[in-house]
Amino acid sequence: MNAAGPQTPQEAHFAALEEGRLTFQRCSDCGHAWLPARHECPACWSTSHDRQEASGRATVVSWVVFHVAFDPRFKDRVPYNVALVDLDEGPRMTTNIIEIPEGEDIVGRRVALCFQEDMGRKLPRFELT
Amino acid sequence: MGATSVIAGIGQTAFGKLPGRSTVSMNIEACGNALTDAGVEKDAVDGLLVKVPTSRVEMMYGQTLAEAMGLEPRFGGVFDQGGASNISMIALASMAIEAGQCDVVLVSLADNPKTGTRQAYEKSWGDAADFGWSSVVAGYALIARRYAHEFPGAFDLFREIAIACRSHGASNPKAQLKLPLDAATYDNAAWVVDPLRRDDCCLISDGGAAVVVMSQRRARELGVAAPVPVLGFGQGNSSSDVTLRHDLTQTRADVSAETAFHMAGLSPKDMDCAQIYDCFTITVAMTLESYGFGTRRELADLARSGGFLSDGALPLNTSGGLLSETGMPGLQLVLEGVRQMRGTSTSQVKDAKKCVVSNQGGIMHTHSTLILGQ
Repeated sequence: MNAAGPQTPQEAHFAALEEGRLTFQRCSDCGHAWLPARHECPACWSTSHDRQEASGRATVVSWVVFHVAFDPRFKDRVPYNVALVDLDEGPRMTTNIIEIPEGEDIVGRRVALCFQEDMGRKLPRFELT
Repeated sequence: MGATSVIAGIGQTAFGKLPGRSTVSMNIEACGNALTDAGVEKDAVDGLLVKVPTSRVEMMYGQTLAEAMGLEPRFGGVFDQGGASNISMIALASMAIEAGQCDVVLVSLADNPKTGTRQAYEKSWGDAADFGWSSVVAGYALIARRYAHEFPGAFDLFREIAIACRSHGASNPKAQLKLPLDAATYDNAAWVVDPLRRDDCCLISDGGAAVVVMSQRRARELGVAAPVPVLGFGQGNSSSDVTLRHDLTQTRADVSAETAFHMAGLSPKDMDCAQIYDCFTITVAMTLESYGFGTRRELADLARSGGFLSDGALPLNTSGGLLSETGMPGLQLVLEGVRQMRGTSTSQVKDAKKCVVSNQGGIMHTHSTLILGQ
């Protein structure tokens, strides 16, 4: 909790991750579901929404492999991948795929949520199923 | 149909590594050269529009530049739409002139990421930073992977785009990179962010460019030697972050082009050459498709037959583009469009009468289109 005021949607999202739960927001007025956390529904601007837990099932939209570490924290990790996945509930998120077989195109592949302790927090990563 | 404005003059600085030059200094040099080219005195200028530099963002930059130029413009300011800013500023200048808000407008761009900071291109992105999500190139790589999944001939098309741009850059004595590219070199170059290799990525450059915009009538009164009519312009903004974009391989470039072609009363088949924003090869492939120059397969076939070379069916980026002339974000493509219409390009297209120019910004967040003619 933020001592200076009420918890922001982003703080609520990160607090849930620390408990090992991947959550997203769903609009109480129009039903739209989204990530990342925010105050207004991007579809109808409603400020009324619930925080729901994702099933952890998702599909790969696209992925890349970094061969250059623009962020110095990753200089000993190249090559590493970053992927976009669509949760079955709708929201899209950026993540890492735990292992991608050499030479395989994983666009469209099904993946499952797998939390890993890294970067001093619980990171919601995914593995191919 | 069409606008009533012209590009009366063009100017630029050297391109490449320019240590010790501020963006203000490079903007002034480019503007001075554009006024000389137009044959117009500084005193005639009453509008100044400038793109915000990426290397150092500061408040009220347009006024800082105006002060340094000794101008008190009636109309002006900064545009912050990334690389799409340039054509959007030319459009804004044309509309302002037509609405009687000003008479002679300088539109200018200068940046110095090569000697200054590249932070704008390499930074980490918000909540996803802990996954290693960073840089502009990675955003384009994400789009390119999806595109290649949808269209298996993608990398053949990307390779031909790079080869054509580099071939034209090699013929341009003022280009930053004058080294032609062959297929084997492209295929063997190091990955930056897979699936994009070194030669899929534009240069990092210091430099500036500027154009003078005025009405056709004013150009006649001032005796401008080689005015090039602005026939149409348009914009389209995808706006969403690339990681949230509904369809990774569709942008609002189609709306931008449709607006511009409709305004000009022309269609893609009327274009004698195309100067297409090539921050990465994928950008050119998607823009040409969105503009109506053909399907992915048709574009790949056109590319393979040399169609993008200056004697081909659709000459592309005839001064070398961002891949070869300068990585500066976009106004140089307008300058080359003007040279093609004047018949003064270093890779001149025979009898070129119409040219389309595209600009875009961010990771395909913004797009703008310009149609020039004679």
